[in-house]
Amino acid sequence: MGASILIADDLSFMRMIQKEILTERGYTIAGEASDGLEAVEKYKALHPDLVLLDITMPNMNGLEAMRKIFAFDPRARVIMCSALGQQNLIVEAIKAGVKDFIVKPFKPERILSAIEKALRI
Amino acid sequence: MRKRYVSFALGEGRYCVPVEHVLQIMRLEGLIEIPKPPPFVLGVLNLRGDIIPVVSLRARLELPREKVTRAGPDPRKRRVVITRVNGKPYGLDVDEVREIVEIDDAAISTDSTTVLGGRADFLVGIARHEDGLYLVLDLPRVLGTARDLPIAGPPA
Amino acid sequence: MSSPASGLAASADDPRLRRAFLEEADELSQKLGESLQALEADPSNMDTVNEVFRLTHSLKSESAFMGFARLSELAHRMEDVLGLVRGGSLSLGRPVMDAVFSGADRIAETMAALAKGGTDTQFENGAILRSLSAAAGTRAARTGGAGPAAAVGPAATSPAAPTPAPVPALPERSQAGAAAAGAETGPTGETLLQGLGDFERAQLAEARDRGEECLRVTVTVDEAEPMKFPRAWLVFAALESAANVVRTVPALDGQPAEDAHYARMSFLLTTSDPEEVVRVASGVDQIASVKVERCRFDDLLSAVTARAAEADAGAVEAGAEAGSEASTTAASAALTGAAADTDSRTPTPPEKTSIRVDTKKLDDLWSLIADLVLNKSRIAHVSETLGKGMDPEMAREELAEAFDDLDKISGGMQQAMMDTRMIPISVIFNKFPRLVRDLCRKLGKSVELSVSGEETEIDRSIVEALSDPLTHIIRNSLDHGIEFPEERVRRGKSEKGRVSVSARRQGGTIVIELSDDGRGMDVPGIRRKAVGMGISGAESFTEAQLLDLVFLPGFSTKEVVTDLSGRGVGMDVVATRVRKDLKGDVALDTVPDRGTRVTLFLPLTLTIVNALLVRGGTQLYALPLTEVDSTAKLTSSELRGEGGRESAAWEDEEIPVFSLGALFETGRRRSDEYFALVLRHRDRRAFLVVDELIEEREVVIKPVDDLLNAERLFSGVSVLEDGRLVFILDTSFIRRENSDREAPWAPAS
Repeated sequence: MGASILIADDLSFMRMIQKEILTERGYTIAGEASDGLEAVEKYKALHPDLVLLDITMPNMNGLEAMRKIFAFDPRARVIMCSALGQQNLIVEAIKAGVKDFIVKPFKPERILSAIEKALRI
Repeated sequence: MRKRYVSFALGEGRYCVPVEHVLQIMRLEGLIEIPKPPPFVLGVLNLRGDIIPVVSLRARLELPREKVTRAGPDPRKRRVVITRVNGKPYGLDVDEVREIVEIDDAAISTDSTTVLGGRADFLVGIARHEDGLYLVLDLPRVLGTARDLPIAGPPA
Repeated sequence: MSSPASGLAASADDPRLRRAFLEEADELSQKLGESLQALEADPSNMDTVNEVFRLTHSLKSESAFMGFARLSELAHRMEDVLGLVRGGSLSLGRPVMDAVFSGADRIAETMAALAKGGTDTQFENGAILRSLSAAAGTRAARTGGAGPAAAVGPAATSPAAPTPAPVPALPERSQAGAAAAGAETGPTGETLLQGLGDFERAQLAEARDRGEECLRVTVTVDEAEPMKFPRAWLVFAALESAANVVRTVPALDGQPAEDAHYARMSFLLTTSDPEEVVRVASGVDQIASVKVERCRFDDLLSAVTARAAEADAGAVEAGAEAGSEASTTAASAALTGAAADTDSRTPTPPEKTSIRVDTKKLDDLWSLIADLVLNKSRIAHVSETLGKGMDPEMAREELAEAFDDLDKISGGMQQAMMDTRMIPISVIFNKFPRLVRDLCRKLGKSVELSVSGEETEIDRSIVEALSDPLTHIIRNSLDHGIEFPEERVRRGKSEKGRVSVSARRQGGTIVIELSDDGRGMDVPGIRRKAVGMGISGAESFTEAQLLDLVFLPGFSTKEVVTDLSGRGVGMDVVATRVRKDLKGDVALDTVPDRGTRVTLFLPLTLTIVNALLVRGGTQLYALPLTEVDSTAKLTSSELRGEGGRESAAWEDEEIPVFSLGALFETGRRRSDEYFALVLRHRDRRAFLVVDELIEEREVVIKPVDDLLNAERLFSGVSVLEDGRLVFILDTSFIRRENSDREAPWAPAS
């Protein structure tokens, strides 16, 4: 009965991997979203303890979704997933209040450790 | 000519004022209320006997409340920037004080009428900087002391 | 529970994952083909460009996860190219399209092979990769993509990034050597604790005054973190939530330098909760080590000047050639050399956080306080012995004496406090010799300046407001008053003009005189102008009256002034400053061809008045006793009229009724009886209903800023000993025709 996590990534493959890693560790998957819009809607509806947001998504990218989520809930715990080389975007996200960022491809320990620390705060 | 400015955040915008106007930065504590204040005056601070009016920049610039990157800035970062304009001290309530930047006079452009949904006539202009845009405040206007024109020097 | 840690390392073998990957990646690859065809038909369609970009980005991520390195690399290169197109720095010409198409084809081939159970290693993508790079090669000539998400890969430092000084191993060693001395050196030689600017000093001083602690936090980012710069930012953001970060090394603003430079970060910060700082700093993931040390404010604030810090940085760079020892010694030397300030410039003291007071004045204050304490005990003693049956008459005498003494002491203290606010006017006068020299040079004139009375003391708070007008008057004098040397000689005057500035105290007023022996002012000319402007009675104005006109805005304009030898420029502003802001006065004297004298009269002390303190809502107000005829109680039945124009009888008049509640929109409860004052302003009287009459007392009036006084209801403000504010009402409001006079029981808005 672990914390509930919302996974947002446009690639079902990526969502699957994250789901695997998280459920193995005992976290509950609050839901999945495949674009920014859905991520925001599901955040508002499901109130997860934490959300994993991919930066590059169609319909609304991760940064936009992050802003909307923070506008809805200033205390939201958001971890940004990004590819190498998007550092300016990540810094933007950090300034807005993101708790951590993960660079893809990531090892399972990395994502678990980030989530664990983010949940502590 | 390059001049140094103190910059601060207000909602989504980054504003700045010349360094020589800034006396002190402090947390907003000990605010005293005053009777029937203008809408943009939060109150005053009593600093060592000086009564310093504290102006809410957000209200003065008429920034729309909804336009914030996250609902409500971190209250721990809120500061009052004590400035001196025309010999008198005034406090500006800002969300967060940021860095000191050097801005070239030539980089400041003055052709907008509204900025970020707020009034632009309180700005000297918008400065283009490698870090982004800085909105340069026209302090005498913001504080309503613009009518105290600086004493003219000898005619050229 | 088996750890999934090893799971993904062998992901390529996990059949379920592989299946999921193939399904999705295949779909992506197909969509890629379709989108590219659409793009070829319409290369300007940004939506399609974005779509292709996203598809290649996704393919890159997924294949990387699965460990298909070649596929990933290929997709990555294509993503880069599309990124440039997206950002506007590359256009989709034939060569680019061709390269991208061959890339897409190769991806499809790879997917087919993978579907059959193979790997991507059989594919040699060198040629395609090269053609993609070549197609993107025009980038070299452009500044990096303007697009926000121009993801241009790991080597993506913007061309504008600063090239750090070549000191590779140095940071480590100079730390080792200077660690004891406490220096952190960044890649360009900047240090954490030295060379603090004014703004940083001000922040430190302010924090110190608030009782905060100063900490130096050093963190090292995990080796495994691929993006150290954002990681450093994360630490910075975390620290900022619990502290005020004054400085970071290396700096985090501006364009990032090479990522590796951010592997080790130092922060100088102030906080009221050091434990929280440690907690948040340790709460950031991917950080290998965190070190927190206390610093002393005083050490930092009296540390080396910027010059020495430059010398330090210079030494560090030079040390790169000479070897590490030299630089270490230089760094420590710069620090220990701080005591012997090699730079002749003294560090700028933080503004306004401290004032200099003559110690004699402080001593005076101290003895008064000592007396105060004595009297306090006296009173305490009396009250004690009264309780034990002391003779009441004796007690009364003792108390009366004690109160008398207290009265004297508090008066003395008031005076002493004001004295600490007094500083000699030389702080302003000292600027004049230089000003005069510069102006002489600029204007080609020759002037001798004499200054006297510079030891005259003025209130600290008027120094700033006084400086500008005086400076302006001197400028005017040199510009328009003093003639050119040749002309002076022609008129039989000394070649050198004379300007004199003096200050003296005359009773409760400071008198400042600025005079010159120049042209003087053209009084008949002023009269002509005044008549021409239609100023009634101007023909028969005395000289003094005419000269007073010079302070009017109309007379200070440049056009008018050229007629009158230019002497009046800006005098209206001077007059406003002196009369309005400084509550003083200014006057002009002149003799044609002999010179002009400007005299300023300034009140010596802040105004103190006897006032009646009242309360309206939660706010305190004061009415000068001279303007209060009486206090009264009004019953609701005595009020006549309605709708903001109530009145009531007083002696044999019917006078208007005002209320604090209506004036300041705080509302009032309905009641049968009200406390009121009878105010008088010149010949008019009115009632002012208040919530409570408090007491009569002396108040020290400070000027109130216009911002706080939009309706001009206040003539000043006073601060009580307990810090509460009292606004002094300007009774002239009772004369205003349309003033707000709602019923005292108007509901609060």
